[in-house]
Amino acid sequence: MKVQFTFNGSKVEWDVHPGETLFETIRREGYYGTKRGCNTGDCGTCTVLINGDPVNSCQVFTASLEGSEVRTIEGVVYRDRKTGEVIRHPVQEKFVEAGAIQCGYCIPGMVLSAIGLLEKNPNPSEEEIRRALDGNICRCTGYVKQIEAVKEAAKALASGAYHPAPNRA
Amino acid sequence: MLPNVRKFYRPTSLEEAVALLNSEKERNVVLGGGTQLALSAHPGIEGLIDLGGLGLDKIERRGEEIVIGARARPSDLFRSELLRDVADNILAEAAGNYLAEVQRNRASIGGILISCAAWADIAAALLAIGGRITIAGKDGEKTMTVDEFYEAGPSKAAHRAIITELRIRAGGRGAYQRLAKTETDISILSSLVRLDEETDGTIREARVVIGGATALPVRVREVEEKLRGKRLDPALAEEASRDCPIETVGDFRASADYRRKMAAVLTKRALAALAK
Repeated sequence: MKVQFTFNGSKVEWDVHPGETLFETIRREGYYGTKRGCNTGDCGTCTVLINGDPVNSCQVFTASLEGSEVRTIEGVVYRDRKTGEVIRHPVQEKFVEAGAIQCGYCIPGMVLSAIGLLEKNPNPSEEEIRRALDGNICRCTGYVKQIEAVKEAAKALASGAYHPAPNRA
Repeated sequence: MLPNVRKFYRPTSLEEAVALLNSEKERNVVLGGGTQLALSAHPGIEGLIDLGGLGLDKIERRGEEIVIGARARPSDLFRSELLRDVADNILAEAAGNYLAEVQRNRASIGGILISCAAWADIAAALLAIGGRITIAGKDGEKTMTVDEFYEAGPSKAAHRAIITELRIRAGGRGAYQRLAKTETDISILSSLVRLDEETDGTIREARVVIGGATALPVRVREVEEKLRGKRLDPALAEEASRDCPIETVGDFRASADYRRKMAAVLTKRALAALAK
């Protein structure tokens, strides 16, 4: 069956099996930034943004997304306001600076959870950051540095130096 | 992945959805948020009935009641200003403890009820709040109390029918205590209390619920009886919760004996928080 929705800023119409999950669809379409972790809804590694909310893509039927807006890690690049240069999202940038990444496997999901939080709540408390990331399990780094990174990203975004790049699917 | 699904229905009316669910020709199931169904590989499911187009996701105030659409998500409940007026926000708090953010943003309250998610404090909170559930079947709509719903068992209460909304009474005071191995783990046990009091503080109705002890949350009538008609002070909180009899089982999180003892402890804490 055909499903139409906005994927990383572009309208797409994909042919899907009515019983398949968004995770299966995304990977088949060649977007490998979304990682397979547990495939049982427990780890958050396959997190994507659906209408701005972080959700496990292994727990969503693609067919239910008609008319929705979906973003994966490929769709979150930013543009520097002064130079026009395409750069990493401030959340990604601050994850790198804070050393919040080791093997990196959980990071796309965690970055998307953080972006989902900051878009709704630009100035979150530590408690709100912890709550927003509570579905994203990291088996190497721990969680302290990611929380620091999200705090720094909130400050960077508030500074106004960044604005979203034109999206590309 | 549900391998044998051939049809994905997007009904635009409740009648259409109910008719599809009662189809004799194919085995269709209701799709709310899908967080549990998407993880299933059930070979017998042939069609999905997506409730997304029926406008069942609102939380609104109607008179003295708060009406929660069955497709409202735990994250909607957690953020709802309206629920703050119900038993000191215990339902929203329990919704905030439902699994993790990536599930709270997708699961539906109707799905949590129907799947008999006894481990979810949100199910216990609903019993403590004491609402009414509206269910649409092929003979039309019926309503039942949350008590009746759990008594019948979710799959029997809503057999080939669709939960459309919950209606809960505003007001009251409430307390919520939980015990878990970690903050993000499901509760080993939870105790939730709703008190409706007269203006002089006399308890008109007390609802004391233990979640996580058995397959469904249970009311502890023995404790409720001791509270009714009295004013809650620290001494009564202690006295009423001393004996908090529940049936329970042991699992890898905790033994039955531990759960039995902790039921009294958590209930004492919940009542102490409400004592004046």
